[in-house]
Amino acid sequence: MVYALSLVVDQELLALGRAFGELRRRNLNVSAITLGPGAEAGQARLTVIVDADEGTVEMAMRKLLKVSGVRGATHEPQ
Amino acid sequence: MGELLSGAQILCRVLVEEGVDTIWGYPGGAIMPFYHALPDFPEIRHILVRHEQAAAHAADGYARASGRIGVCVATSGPGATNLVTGLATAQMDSSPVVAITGQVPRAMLGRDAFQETDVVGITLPITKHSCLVADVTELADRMREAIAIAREGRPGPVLVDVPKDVQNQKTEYQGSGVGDQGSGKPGRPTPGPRPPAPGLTDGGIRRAAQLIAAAERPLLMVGHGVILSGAYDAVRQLAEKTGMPVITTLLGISALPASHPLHLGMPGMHGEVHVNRAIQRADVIVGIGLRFDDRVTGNTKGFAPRAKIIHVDLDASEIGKNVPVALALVGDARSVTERLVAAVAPRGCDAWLAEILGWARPPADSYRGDLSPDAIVAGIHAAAHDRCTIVTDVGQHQMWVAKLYPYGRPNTHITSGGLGTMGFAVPAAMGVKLARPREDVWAISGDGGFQMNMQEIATMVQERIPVKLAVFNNGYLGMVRQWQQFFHGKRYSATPIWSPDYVKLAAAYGIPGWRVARASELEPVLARASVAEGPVLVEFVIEQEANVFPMIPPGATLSEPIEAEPAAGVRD
Repeated sequence: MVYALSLVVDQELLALGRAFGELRRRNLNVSAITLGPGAEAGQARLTVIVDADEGTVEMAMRKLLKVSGVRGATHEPQ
Repeated sequence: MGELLSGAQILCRVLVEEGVDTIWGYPGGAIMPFYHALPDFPEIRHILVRHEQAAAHAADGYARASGRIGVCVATSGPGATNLVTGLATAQMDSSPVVAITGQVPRAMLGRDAFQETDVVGITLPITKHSCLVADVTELADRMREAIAIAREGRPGPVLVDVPKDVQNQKTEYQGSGVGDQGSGKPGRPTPGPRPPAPGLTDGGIRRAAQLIAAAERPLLMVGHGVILSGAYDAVRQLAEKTGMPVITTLLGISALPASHPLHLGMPGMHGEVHVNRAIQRADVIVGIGLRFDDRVTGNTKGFAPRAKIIHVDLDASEIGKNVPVALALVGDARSVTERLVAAVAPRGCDAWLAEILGWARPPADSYRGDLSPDAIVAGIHAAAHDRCTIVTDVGQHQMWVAKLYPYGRPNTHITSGGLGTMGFAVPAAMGVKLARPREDVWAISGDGGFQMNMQEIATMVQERIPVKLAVFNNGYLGMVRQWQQFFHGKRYSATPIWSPDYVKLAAAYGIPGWRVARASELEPVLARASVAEGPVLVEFVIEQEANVFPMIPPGATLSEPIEAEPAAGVRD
């Protein structure tokens, strides 16, 4: 199943690195990544397209929400 | 107008304002400005360790025993990388450790400068938070933020990396209370009383109470979260009000006195047969502050097949991670358990408890010598009574102590659980001792783990930290040897380990040392070790091929223990 993960992240490389680290650790199959400005100053919106089962994605989302610098995370099946 | 302070002075000032009175560290080039400022802050006692890994473990031990943050300091490059194992240990066991590392000056960053290493990058996956502070005007806020992150919610380690020139730069310092306002960047929530968990409703508590009331074979499993939140009384009340037998994980040990009639013991890979069987037969398991890790569950496919699991955890990402749960109660272990106590109807589980205790077996005896691990653990307990904290390392001795020591008071058992870090006990015990100066603190290690950090005896002597050191010496890396015996056809590859003469080693460090090789020597030696004022070392020479039983083979379920030595054992 393909999901779009949408994260609001502090606009700094370290926060992005931490978020990517969580995805890398889970060895998720990532097919696309986009990064753009967030709704608020100092924040970025990171969208990641992954192919994984629902349980794996939900677990990754819960872990991502714990990451320092990640302000929000939602996911939608594509 | 604030005072004009250097970055190094700001680091010290924030530590003092946050109530830090003890830090562990090792100086070096990139952290020298910090060490230059430190003597001006007599409120902070600095302990010079002999290896930075020990600084991180000592800070961890201090944090676990005191409930406050533990702070360690190292220079850039090798100093910083030596902290890594200690930080990973603290991360796995949710311990609030704050590491301050020096870094090469900003102009040298990225140029492979002398002793430059990207420690923020290295520690990203093993800390709760790590950052490099490149602007001295942000240093106070970043430091306070780091401390808050280490403490808040589920605790964990943080690392603040400060370039040498930032430590030397001066800026106006505003006292605490400024928070994040100064930086102009979005800040984290201010630490304070834990807000009620959003997922925790009265309905959830009611549903849990109903499940417990309807259960025929309910169990309470408690872990480190109970220690971290101080939920001991609530757990005991919940157990007594419902009659639910209580299982304590390795890091939950001492949450309930071992003498309590509802206390069953430790589950999992080396759990007693009746404890694991209780899990396999239970119809409801209330798990509080534990993460159902693989050493507890064995093969999760066969874990607690009949049980509806009610999982209480502060960390929402733990729910359903390893085992499916019927009901999640996300929140602080103490507040959730207190609400459960109020909500549950009084009941008993006498028949169920009697059934479980009926499955108990006498301990399997695999010791041919007369100095058994049982006798040693009983001897230490007899000498220390109930006024001591036990810090264990990793391996066979850790399991023997966990299973056999009759803990009476909460949080008196400290060990490296999640990461399983050999070499933890000796330095961590220094931290525990400084947090609990009026208690005896025993650091119990095997001959392998002891030799990983035995250099810290020098720290104990120089800083007058009177830890009592016990070494279980069987001439092997015993737990690995046990696995080789059962799963690798007795091919003892790289597990025989030579030790120095520990009595002479003790003498070289100027501390008393004894060797105990017979049961008859136990009591007199432990009596003398007990009353000695400084650090002491006691070596226990035990049977070389003693094993820890029972044992769940890797990949097996809790229903498939190896219970004793005879032919039963060997599996592929």
